[in-house]
Amino acid sequence: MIELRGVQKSFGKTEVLKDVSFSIPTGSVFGMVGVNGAGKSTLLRLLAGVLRPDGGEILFDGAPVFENPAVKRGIFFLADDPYYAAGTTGKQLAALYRTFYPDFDEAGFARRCERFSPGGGAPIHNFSKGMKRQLFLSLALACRPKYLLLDEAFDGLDPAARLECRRAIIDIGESGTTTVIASHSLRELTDICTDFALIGEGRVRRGGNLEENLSAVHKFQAAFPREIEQGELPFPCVRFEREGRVVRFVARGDADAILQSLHALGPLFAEEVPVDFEEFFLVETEGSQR
Amino acid sequence: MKKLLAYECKRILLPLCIFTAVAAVIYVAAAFSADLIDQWALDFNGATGAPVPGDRAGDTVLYVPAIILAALCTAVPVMQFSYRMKKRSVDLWYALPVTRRALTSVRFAGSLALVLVPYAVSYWAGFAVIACRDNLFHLQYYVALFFASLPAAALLLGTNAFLFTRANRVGDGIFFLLAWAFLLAMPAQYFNYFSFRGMPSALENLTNYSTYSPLGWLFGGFSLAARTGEVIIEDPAVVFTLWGVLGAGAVFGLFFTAKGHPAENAGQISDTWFGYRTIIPVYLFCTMSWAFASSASVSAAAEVAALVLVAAAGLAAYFAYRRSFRLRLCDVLSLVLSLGAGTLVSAITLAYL
Repeated sequence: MIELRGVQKSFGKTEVLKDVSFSIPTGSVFGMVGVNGAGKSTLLRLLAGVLRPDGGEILFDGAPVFENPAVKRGIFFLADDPYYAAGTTGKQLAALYRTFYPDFDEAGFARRCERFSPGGGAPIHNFSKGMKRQLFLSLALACRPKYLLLDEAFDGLDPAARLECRRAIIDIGESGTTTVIASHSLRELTDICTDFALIGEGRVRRGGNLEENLSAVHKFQAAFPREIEQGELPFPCVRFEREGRVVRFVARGDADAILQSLHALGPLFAEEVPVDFEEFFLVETEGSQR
Repeated sequence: MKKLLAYECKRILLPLCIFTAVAAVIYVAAAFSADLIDQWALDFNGATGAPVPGDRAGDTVLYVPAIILAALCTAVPVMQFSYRMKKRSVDLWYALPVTRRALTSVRFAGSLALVLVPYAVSYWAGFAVIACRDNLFHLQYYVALFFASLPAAALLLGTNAFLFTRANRVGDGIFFLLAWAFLLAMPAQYFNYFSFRGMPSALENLTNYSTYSPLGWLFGGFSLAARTGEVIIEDPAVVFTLWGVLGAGAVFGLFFTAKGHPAENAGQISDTWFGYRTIIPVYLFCTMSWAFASSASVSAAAEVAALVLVAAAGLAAYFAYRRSFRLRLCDVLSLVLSLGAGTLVSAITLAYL
C-alpha cells in the first residue's frame, strides 16, 4: 500500500503541492487526474523517489521511498518523456534495467519488442513516439515491479497499442502489481482504473473508488415540448447543456428521485445515460472554476 | 554495488577505448617526431649562459602527457556527471534502486578509469618510444613522475567534478570549472601588478593559483629533472598544500552533497555560491583592482574605458547567469559594488605606492 501524508512540494516560490494525503490500495490501478499543471507529474516523481518532499511523507508498505533502494527495487517509474542516450538500443536499456531489477523478464521483453522492433538492435532515436512508448512499457513490464508508476502512459500510442497497453496493465495488476497512472486519456483510465485521485490547486479535490464516485453523479437526457432554462429544473445541476428543446444535465443525488421530479415538468422523454470518467472530470473541474 | 560497477565498466568501455587510442597515438606520434636532443638543449643551456651540470638533452616531450591529463581531467567530469543536469536523465537515474551517493561513487570510479587508463597507457607507450630513441635523459624521473602525477590527477578530477556538479546546466558547469581554474589567480594578479615590497614571491606568482598548477609544476619540475637530474619546483609547499587541501575538500564535498542533490534543479538557473554568484563579483573586483590602476598611467580616458569594458563584461556575465536581459536588484548591486570596491582599492593602492 502507498500512503501519502500531508505531502508538500514547492519549486522556488511556486507551491505545487500544498497538502496531499491519500492512500493507494495494493493491487489497484490508480488513476491520477487533474488539469495541466495540477502537479500530477510532480506527485509521480515524488512517488518514484526522484524528488524529496518539502513536507509530509510518502510510504510504500510503511517505508519511506526517498533514497531507499530496498523500496525502490519494487518500483518502476516511466516518465512522460523517458531518457535514452544517443545511439542507445532497446537491448542496451534492457541491460541497464537488468542490473537493478534481478527478476527482469528477458523472454517477455524480447517477445513484446518483436511486435514493433524485430531484432531489438535499432537505435531508439530512430523510433516513432509510439514505438518508444511501447519499448519503455515493455521494459517496465519486464522489470516485474510491485509498483508501476506511469506518466502519460497512453501518450503517442495508436489504438491497437493502447488496447495492448490496457491489457498489459490489467494483466500485471492481476499478478499483484499496483499501477499508478497519471494521464489525460480519461477514456482509457475509465476502463482500467479501480481508484483515482483528482489533483487540483495543490490538493486532492476528490478521490477514492472510481465506480463509487461515478455512481454518485447522474447524467440525464430529456426532451421537452418547449425550451426550458436550468433554473426551471426542481433540483440543482452541476452541469447543464441545452440544444433546442433537448437538455442534457448532470446532477448529484438519488437517480430515481431526480427522474421523478423531472417527470413533473412533462418531458416528451427522459432517460438516464451513463457518466464516464471524462464527464465526471469535467463536472469536478468546472465546478471548481465556477 | 558490484553489479552497478560492472554495468559502469560496460558503459564506459567504448569511450575508454577511444580515449586510450587517441591519447596513445598523440603521445607516441609526439615522441617519435620530437627533437629530443638538439634545439631545446641549446636554448636551455643558452638561457643560463653556461651548460647546466648534468644537463643531458632537450625536449622531454613531457608536456604532451601533461596536456592529455589536463584535458581528460576537464572533459571526463563533464561526461560523467552531466546526467544530473537534464530532467529526463535525472528521472531515469534517480528513480533506479540505488542511492545518489552510490551512483556518485560509481561515476567517480568510472571517471578515474576514464582519466587514468588512457593516461597510463599513453604515458608508457610514449615513454617506451622516448627510451628506445637516441636520447640521454634521466629516465628514472619519467617513472617517478608517473606515480607522482596520479594523486595530482585524482585531486584535479575531484576538484573539477565538484565544481561541475555545482551547476544545474552543462554549459554553466563548464563555465564554473574553467572560471574557478583561474579564480584564485585573480588576487595574485593584483599583488603581482603592484609588486609590494617584502611580499613573499609565492603570493604573487600567478602560476601557483590555478587548479591546474600542481600538474603544471609537477610535469615542469620532472621535465627539468629528466634533463638535469634535479627536481626543481618553486613554492612546492604553497602549490601542493593549497591544491591538495582544496582537492581533498572538493572530493569530500562531491560525496557529501550527493545525497541531497535536488533533482528539480536540473536544467534550472545555476544559483549556487560556487557559481556565478561568487565568480562574477570576484572577477570584477580583482580585474578592476589592477586594471583601473594600469589604465590610470595611460590617461583619464583609458580609466573610463577600462571601467566601461569591465562593467560590460560583468553585465554580459549576469545576463548569461540569469539567461535573460532582466536582472535582479541583487545582481545590479553586486555589479556596482564589486566594480566600485575594485576601483577604490586600485585608487588607494595608487595613492600609497
